[in-house]
Amino acid sequence: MTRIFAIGLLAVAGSPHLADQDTYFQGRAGPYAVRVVVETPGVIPGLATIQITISNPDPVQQVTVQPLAWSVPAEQAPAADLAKATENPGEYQAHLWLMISGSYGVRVTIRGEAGAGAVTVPVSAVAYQRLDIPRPLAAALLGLATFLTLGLVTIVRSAARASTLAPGEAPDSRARKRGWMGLVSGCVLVAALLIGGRAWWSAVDSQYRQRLYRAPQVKAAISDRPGILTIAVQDSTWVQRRRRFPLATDEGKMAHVFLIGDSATGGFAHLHPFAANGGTFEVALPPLPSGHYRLFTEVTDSVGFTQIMPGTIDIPAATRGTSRRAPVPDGFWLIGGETSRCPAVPITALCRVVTDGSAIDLRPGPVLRFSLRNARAEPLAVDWSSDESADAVLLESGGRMTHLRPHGTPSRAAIAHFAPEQAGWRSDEPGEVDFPYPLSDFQGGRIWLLVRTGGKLMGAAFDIGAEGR
Amino acid sequence: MAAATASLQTTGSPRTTHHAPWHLYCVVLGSISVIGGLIWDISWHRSIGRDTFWTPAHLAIYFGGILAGLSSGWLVLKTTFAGTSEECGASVPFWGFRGPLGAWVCIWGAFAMLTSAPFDNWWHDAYGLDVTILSPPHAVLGMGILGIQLGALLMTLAANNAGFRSQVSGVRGLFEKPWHLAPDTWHLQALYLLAAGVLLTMHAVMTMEYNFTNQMHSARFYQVAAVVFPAVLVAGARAAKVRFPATTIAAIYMGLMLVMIWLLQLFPAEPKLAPITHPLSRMVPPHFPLLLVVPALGIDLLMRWIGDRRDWRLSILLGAGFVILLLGSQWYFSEFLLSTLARNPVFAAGQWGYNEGPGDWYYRFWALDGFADGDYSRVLLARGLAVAVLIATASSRVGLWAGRWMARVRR
Repeated sequence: MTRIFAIGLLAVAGSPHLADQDTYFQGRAGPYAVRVVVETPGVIPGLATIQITISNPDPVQQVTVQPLAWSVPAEQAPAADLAKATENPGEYQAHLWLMISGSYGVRVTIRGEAGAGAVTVPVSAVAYQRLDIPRPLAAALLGLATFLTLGLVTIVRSAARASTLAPGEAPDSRARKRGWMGLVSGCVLVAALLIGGRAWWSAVDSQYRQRLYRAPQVKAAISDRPGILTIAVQDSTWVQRRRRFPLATDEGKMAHVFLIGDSATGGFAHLHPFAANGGTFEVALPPLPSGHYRLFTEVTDSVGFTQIMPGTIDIPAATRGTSRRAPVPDGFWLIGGETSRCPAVPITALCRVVTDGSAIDLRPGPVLRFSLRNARAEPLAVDWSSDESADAVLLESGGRMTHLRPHGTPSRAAIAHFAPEQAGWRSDEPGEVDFPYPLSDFQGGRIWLLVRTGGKLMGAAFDIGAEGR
Repeated sequence: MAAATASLQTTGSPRTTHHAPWHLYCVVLGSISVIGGLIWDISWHRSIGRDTFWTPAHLAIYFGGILAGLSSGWLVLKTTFAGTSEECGASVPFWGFRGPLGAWVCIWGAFAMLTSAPFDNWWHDAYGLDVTILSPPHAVLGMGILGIQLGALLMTLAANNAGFRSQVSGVRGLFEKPWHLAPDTWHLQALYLLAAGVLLTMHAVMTMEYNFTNQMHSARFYQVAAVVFPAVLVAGARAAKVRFPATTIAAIYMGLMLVMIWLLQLFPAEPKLAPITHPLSRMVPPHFPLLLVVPALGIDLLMRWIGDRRDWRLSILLGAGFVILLLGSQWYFSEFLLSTLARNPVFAAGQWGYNEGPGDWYYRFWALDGFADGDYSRVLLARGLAVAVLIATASSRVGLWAGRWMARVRR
């Protein structure tokens, strides 16, 4: 019953998903630093692939994975599965079935000479795609179907014509007439099966496509009150779902709103609205340049399911006037500033942005990594103890958006549902911030980094060209 | 023992006990393996959840299909390329080849089962794994399995109806010409009845979503039962040569189900897929079989009383009799099955899958006709049962037609 309800609630009208459905995570499983990538299958129930990378010199004896479903206690989780080592040192791979829509926690446990430890990686499991049938398979099935249909017609004809004849008896005119009737009946039977089967398949396909997960769209508007942005969720089931699964606060915030201007505009904002009523959020608008903005609203519910809801807004000139009554926006934003254009992906050379005398470098390497230096080229310490110490937002040219914390894509609220005691991530190297996102997955676009250092917020944007791929 | 060469006689010869040819055992064994594997597979999915292509249950299903398909294929090739004139005369043509009708149906069934495998694999990748039991690829598999079972039934029927009387000596029968069969031997009848019982079991398994114990106080259960069971029982009875054929076929169905119920519970199981809402430690058996022996006995008595010359009248009586007797037996027996008295390994009541519950709905009647608060309306129930009688009448009529044809199948 719960499973059907969860699927029903997630089937909403909305736009195709613009958020990356794979999960990227890094953390510490006891003494082991581990990166985990969960590739969701796109269908539910479906098989997820889990890639685990352990960067620890001590030998590892066993790596296991275990699925924790949102709807049952962790004690009722099935027994853990063994992950297999790949040919790359420190890399393991496993598969887990995601059987219901909603949130899962993938618990990765590592045992080795340094001891044992575990991390839990929240995953949002939804059906978001429908695979087409490959041409070779379609051709083979068509051939077999033709053979079976012709065979069935022949069997019915033979049954009518000859099955009741005595051994050795030749068919007479009555038998031949029965044979023709059998042929017609067989054709009618086969036609009914084919037409009925096609109608059935079409109905299943249509129902499945209607139930594919699409993140609800939001409609944003600037209200009459000075400088207030109103965001309304366009989902008729939103209120009902929130009664059953209220929103959870993530690092003390009800939601995260990202305003991303186009390249001409150059504006970027990461804001924290409050929930007004009935599926509406409100937040004070910062002094962003006028223009067209893409808007993404990220929320997490009480069972760890995270959604990123897309929308757009046109910000007119002088939205935030000189009125002292205009509220102060909760969040941070970049206006213009330095944008570094990096030539190609994979990054083979340093890409630097200089802001207020400090430098932020996007470093070459397999994952997204930045180093922060002051004017004297000394590492800048990141304020790891504060909320939102570092944040990266990736927007690809095709519109796909990824929000990364230092521990990866899952929100703290989602982690808190499955593993409330799990600690956050901080880079070991001074002046370094890394995110567990492989740059090879980035299709080209813009990356924004916001990092808190020395009590101040630094930000930079990097353009990564797709032509270098 | 007389010589192994065939002597064909048609009438008047004394009854002789003979061995059935080996390919009959193969197709019937294949048919049993398929249905046993299917019941096992359903239990596997409800107890363990995770499976691959190579689980023992899947292997049992495909073994049955391959056994029936290959033995039928051998028979066809032998008849076509090395058959005597008697063998060819006792076969039907198919695209230049010759073989018994049942063999062609088995071969068709085997190909359908093989076709369903890649189709089902892609379907899981495209739409998710087994969101419902009945999907187009599973329907193709189901038709393939039905083909195996119908083919086995037709081959045993032909052997029973052939009218040959001859002798064959023991093991040499494996390699002798396959048509040295004598009618009225209990081996052949037993194989036929077994094949018919397996076919009836398949129909019960295919409709299991509509014949849970909890649904037996609703008209829909009787309507669905009225579609599938009378046709099979009546057709099987008409073509049989024993005194109470429908009762025997129903008893075989019940026996097969009870064996699976009692065997499966002996094996440990651990659910491997989340969420586990109902932890368990043993394989989940199917529900207790329907008491089809009761309406089946009614079918036998009515068919003996009315005879085979007034089929329209007979079908009305059979339809009404089936529903009344099924209602009378299942209505009260289901109340027993939902009580605490049935919660033991013998009756296996209240055992559900790892992702089914728990809840008090285990022990309540569902889908009652009428009010949402659990009560039911006698008027609505009566109307629904009247519809069931009409359906059962139509099903019985189809069974009588089919049975008349089956009684004359000789190739």
